Amino acid sequence: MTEAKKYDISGQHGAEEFRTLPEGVKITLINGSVGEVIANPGDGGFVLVTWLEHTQDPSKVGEEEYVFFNEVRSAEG
Amino acid sequence: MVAFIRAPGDRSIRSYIDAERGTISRETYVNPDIFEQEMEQIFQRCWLLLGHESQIPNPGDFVVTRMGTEEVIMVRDRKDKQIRAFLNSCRHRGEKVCRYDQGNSLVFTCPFHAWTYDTKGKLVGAGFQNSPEAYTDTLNKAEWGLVEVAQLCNFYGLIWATWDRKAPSFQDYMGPFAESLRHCLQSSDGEDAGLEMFTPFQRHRLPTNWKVPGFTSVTDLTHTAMTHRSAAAAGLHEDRGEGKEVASVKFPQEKYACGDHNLGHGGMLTLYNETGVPPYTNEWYEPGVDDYFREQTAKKAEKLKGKIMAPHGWGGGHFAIWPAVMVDSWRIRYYHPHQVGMTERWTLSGVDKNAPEHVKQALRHYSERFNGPVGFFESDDMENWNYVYPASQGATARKNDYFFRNGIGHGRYDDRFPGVVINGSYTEEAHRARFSRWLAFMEAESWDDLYPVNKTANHRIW
Repeated sequence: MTEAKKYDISGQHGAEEFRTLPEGVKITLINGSVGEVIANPGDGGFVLVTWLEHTQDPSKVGEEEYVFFNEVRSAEG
Repeated sequence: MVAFIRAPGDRSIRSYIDAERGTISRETYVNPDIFEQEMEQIFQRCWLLLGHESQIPNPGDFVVTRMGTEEVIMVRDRKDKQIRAFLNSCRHRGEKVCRYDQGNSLVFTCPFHAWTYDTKGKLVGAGFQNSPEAYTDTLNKAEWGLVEVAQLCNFYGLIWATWDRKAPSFQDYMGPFAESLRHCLQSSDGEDAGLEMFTPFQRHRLPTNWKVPGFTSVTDLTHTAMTHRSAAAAGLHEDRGEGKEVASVKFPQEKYACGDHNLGHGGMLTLYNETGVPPYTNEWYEPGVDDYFREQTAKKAEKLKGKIMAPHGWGGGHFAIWPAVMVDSWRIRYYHPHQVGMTERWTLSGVDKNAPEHVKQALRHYSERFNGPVGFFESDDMENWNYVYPASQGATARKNDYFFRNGIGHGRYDDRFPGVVINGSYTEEAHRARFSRWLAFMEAESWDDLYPVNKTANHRIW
């Protein structure tokens, strides 16, 4: 089993890394929620995710939502 | 400068047209106050052409087009695949949310504060949207979508929109010209919505008022002899092979300059007196193209057996759709005002969407030879239009009215084209019809005053 790739979305090169995050990557938010990237508009600001875990509102699991980059703590997958 | 009073319903604008003398004040072309009023009274209310569905065939495809002086995003939604149109202006601070002419996108993200809209125009994200130190509960995304046009119509492939909810349906707006337009959008075998447009399309910026080409470039046969003399003398009008073969039998038809003074549409149209279609004559130098069109014409003849074709611009002239669109069998031109003395002319060139590649290439080359900066006919026209504005602008010039009298008093109605005044093909009937409609719009308080919402209105002034 291959280890999940970790994306460094911080620092100088983080903006470019976030802009090109591929579909299937799992992102963890600062608030602990977890989503899977299902589309990336490539604008450097947002990714579209499906919620796998939602710490604020568990009823949102399975829903789609655009997530702004500064809410994201880490990305891997 | 002539005083211009700005108020809805103000009738002082009527003084700029002398219907008895057949003249129009140059102020109508050069006065910036009148231009501002036109944007409000005409371009906010009319159905305006956005483009063609073939420009955005795939989900997420978009084209940035215009409605008057404003940019509009015409986009095909990623999910329901419907075409929608939105003002290209963020609801937050008004920044453009799309800076590309065309493309494919998941969302339109404003580069200012990252307000982000999906292809239905819905606000789906904003920078710091979930921060407790930012919007908290103050941003209800459902209320802050992009501004959508009030009505949109896909008319056999052409996409039209209006900002005015009270505007009549596009079909009613077109009146008797609806069938003419439908005919122009058929493929050469007579199938509805049978065209696609070449991309990218041509755009030219013209330092002139929008009405110069928009009102008077259609059905202006008296200009051709002089304006296009050099091109004609060089035989360039035969570039496509036109005149290569002369029809052995003349198809019964009559050509008129015509105008609907109530609707503003009009142009050079052919009324047919016999069912079916004219026999095909060879027109093309490129091998195989005549064979294709001859076959297509035979299929169209079969479809039109026993029917008289609608008056149209398909091989029979071209006509204008109020306020600023021109259509014929292969070109669709629309004029976007930018400022009182600056206009952009866009040209869509159509071709049968199911035509073989060699036919499409022949059409494309013909279009490029005819239109555009290396085209040999339209550069002549543009030069005229571009000098009308500066030569009309001066204090002396603007005191002298334009002559719009050609053929005045000789128009008549014809049952074959109800409501439309037909006149000699070298007259300015179509131009006068546009100014009848122009005055009606400039004076109207709303669509309630305007035909066809007001069915009893009679806007004809001359």
